[in-house]
Amino acid sequence: MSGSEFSFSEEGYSSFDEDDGYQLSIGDTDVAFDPDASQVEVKYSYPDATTSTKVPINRIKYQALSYDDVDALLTEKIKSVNGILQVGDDESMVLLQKFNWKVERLLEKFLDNPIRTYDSVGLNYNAVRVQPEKLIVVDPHFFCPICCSEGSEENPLTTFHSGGCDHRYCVNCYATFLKEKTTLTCMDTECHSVILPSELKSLSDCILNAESVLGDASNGLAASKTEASADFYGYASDSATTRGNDYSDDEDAAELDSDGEEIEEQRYLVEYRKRKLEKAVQDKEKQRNKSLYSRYRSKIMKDHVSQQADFRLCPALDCPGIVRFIDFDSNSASSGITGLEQFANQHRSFPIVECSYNHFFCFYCSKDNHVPIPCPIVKAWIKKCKDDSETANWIDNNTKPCPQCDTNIEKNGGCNHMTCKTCCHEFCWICMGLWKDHKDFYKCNRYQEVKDDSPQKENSRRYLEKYLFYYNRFAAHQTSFKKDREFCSKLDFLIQKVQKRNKVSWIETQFYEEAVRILLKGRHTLMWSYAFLYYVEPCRLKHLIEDSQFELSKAVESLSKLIETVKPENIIKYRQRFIKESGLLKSHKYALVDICLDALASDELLISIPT
Amino acid sequence: MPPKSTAQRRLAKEYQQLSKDRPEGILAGPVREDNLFVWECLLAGPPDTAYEYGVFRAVLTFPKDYPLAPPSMKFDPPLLHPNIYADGSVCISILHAPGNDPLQYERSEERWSPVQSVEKILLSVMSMLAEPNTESGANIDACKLWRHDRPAFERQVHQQVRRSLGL
Repeated sequence: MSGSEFSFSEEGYSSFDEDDGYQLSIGDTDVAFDPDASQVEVKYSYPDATTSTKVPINRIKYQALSYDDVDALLTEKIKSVNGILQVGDDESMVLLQKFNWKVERLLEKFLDNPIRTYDSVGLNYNAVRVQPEKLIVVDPHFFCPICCSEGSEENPLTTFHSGGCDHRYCVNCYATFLKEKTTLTCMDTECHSVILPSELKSLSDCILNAESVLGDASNGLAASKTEASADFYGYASDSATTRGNDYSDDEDAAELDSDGEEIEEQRYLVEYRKRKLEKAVQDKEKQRNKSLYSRYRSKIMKDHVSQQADFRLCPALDCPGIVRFIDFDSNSASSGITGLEQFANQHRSFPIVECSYNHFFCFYCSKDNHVPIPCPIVKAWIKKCKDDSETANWIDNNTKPCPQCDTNIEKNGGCNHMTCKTCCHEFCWICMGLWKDHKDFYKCNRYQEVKDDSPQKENSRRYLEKYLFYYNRFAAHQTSFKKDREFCSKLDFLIQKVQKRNKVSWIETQFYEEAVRILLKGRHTLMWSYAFLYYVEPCRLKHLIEDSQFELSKAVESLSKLIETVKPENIIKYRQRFIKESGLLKSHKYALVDICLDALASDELLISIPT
Repeated sequence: MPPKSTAQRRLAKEYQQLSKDRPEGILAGPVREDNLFVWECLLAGPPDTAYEYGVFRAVLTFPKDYPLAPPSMKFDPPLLHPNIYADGSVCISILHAPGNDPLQYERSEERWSPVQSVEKILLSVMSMLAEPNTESGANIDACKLWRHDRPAFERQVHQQVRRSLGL
C-alpha cells in the first residue's frame, strides 16, 4: 500500500447511474484539451460505482470515441502531414503508415532524403502516377496469369494495376489478393509499386458495382433489405442523440413527480433504445467489412490507434469503440502520479473505462472490469493461472464426478445447486458438499488455512492446494459467467416469446432482463474476489471480506437458481421475487466492493504478490 | 470434364505448360487425373554437390485457395538437408506466404505470391539443394553436420542418393 495521503475531493467525483452505465461528469470538464475532439464528452474512469465508501479512488479522465471520431482524427493527421510535405493525402498516409504513424520520424527522414523515403514505401518520387479511374481497364483479349481466365469479345475481363506499374491482373484476383492486407503492393514479387488508397477505392467500387449488377439480376430483394436496415439505423441514431435529453427529463421527473411507474417506464424505454442502437452499430460494422476499401480503412485505423500510447481499442469482440486517455484526476496528480504504469500500480487506482458501446474495460491491462481488484493483482493472478495451466488442465473444468455415484456431470447452466440425474444426489458444484448443509452453516467460500506445523516439504503442496482452492472457485464462476452471458444473448428472443404468450407489453418483462444483467455483474465481481483473496494474508479484514463474499455468493446462487428453474412463460407470476432477489444481489455486490475498497485503503490489509 | 475452380483451372494450365516446356532435371505432375491438388515430382540432384546423380521424389500438396496460398512440399523418403525437416517437409521462403515472418527474415520478393508457379518453386528447391541456408535451418542436426563435419554429411547424403537409385 502506498502511504501517501489522499484527500477526497468533490471535483474528482462524478455522479453515476449504474443501471445503464451512463454518467454525467460534475466538476472540471476539461474539454479544451483537443480542439478536434472537443465535442466528445470527457468522462472519469471507474464508472460502475455507487459505493458509499469514503475511500478516495484514483481516476483517469478519458473520452469514449466512436469509429467516426477516430477516423476524423486520422484524416486530420494525414492532412496536417500533407500540409508540410505537400505530396498528396494518399502518399502522406502511406508514408505515415511506414513510419508507424510517427510524424517526427517521417519528417526527419523525408527532409533528409525524399527520394529514398519514397522508394522505401514503393513510390517513385519523379514519376507521375496514373489517375485512379484509369487503372480499371476492360480488355477482351486479356489472359489473367493468376486464375488463367481468358477474356473474349462477348465476355471481356476487367483488369486492374497499380498507378506506378503496368502489371495487370483481373479485378477479382487482385481484390482477393489485397483483401487481408494492410500494406498494399503490386502482386508481382519483383515489382515494389505501392497501391494508394484512392486506387484501392477505385478497385473496390468496381467490384461493388459488379456485385450489385449481379444482385439486381438475381433478385431485387437484397436492395430493399439494405434500405430497410438503413432506415432502421436512422431511427436508432436519432434515439442516440436524444438519449441524453431523455435522461435529464427523467431525472427532473424523479424530483418533481412521485409517480414511480412512469419513470420506470421511461427508463426502460431509454434502455430499450440503447440496446437497439447497439445492434444497429454492430450492423454498421458488418456493413463496413463488406467493401474492400472500408475493410482496409478500418484496418488502417486500428493500426494507427494501436501505435498510439493514449488510445485503446475496446477489447470486446468486434467492438469498434476506442477510448482516449486525457489526464489523471486531481487526486492522482496531487499524489505525484505521472505515468500510467505508476498509476495502475496504486492499489486504489481503477482505470476502468467505458467505450461508446457500453463495454467496460481496464485502460491499463485491457481486461474486463475487474473492480475491486487492483491491476497488479489481476496481472499476478492471470500470470499464475497461465503458468499453472498444466495443473489447471488437470482439473477438468467442465465435468466433475458426482460425489455419490461418480457419474461425470457437465454443467449446462449458471446455478451451482446440482442434482445428479442418475442418483438424485443434491450437492454444491463448488465445494462438492451436500446442498442441504449448505444453506445455513456450511460456508464453502472460506479457505481453511492449515496451521504451519508440518515439515517443509509439505509446504509446496499446501501452496498448490491453496491456489487450487481459489482457482477452482474463480474458474467455476468464470464458466458460469460465460454460460449466463450466452443465456443473455438469447434473452431478446425469449422475452418476445414471453410477451406473446402472456400478452404483456415489453415494459412488464423488463424486470427479467434486468435480473439477468444484475446476475452477470454480480457473478463477475464474485469471480474476481476469489483472485483477490488468494493474495490477501489471513487477517481480520480478510474475514470481513469473506463474510461479505459469502453473502454475495448466496445471493448469486439464489437468483441464478430462480432464473434457471422458472420457465420463461411463468416469469410474470414470479415478478416480485425476481425484483426482490436482484435488488438483494445488487446491494450485496456493492457491499463487497465497498469492503474491498476500504480494506485496500487500510494499512491492516497485507497483500503478498510474489515478484 | 473441364476444370471448375480457379485453383483447378490454374493447376491444369501449369501442368500443361510444364509438360510442354520441361526444365532440366525436373519432372512433375498430378498423381491422379481427377485430383489436381496433389502432385508428385522427381528432382535430379544438382551436379557438383553431394546430391549429384540422385533422383528424389517429393509430393506437392496444393490448398483449395491456390494460387493465393502456397502449396506445401515434402520429400518422400526424407532427405538429409539443413532446410528440410526430419519428416521431409521443405522449409524455403518461396513456400511461405508473406506476412507470417515477424522478424522480416526473408525478403518479400522471395516469398510466395500468386505470380509464382510450380516451376519456380521446383527451381528454387533445386538451388536450395546446392546451396543450403544454414542461418535459418529446419533440421538442426543436418545444419551442425554440414557446418562442422562436411565429410560425414556427404557420406550420409551419398547413402541416400544410392538408396534413391535403388542400389
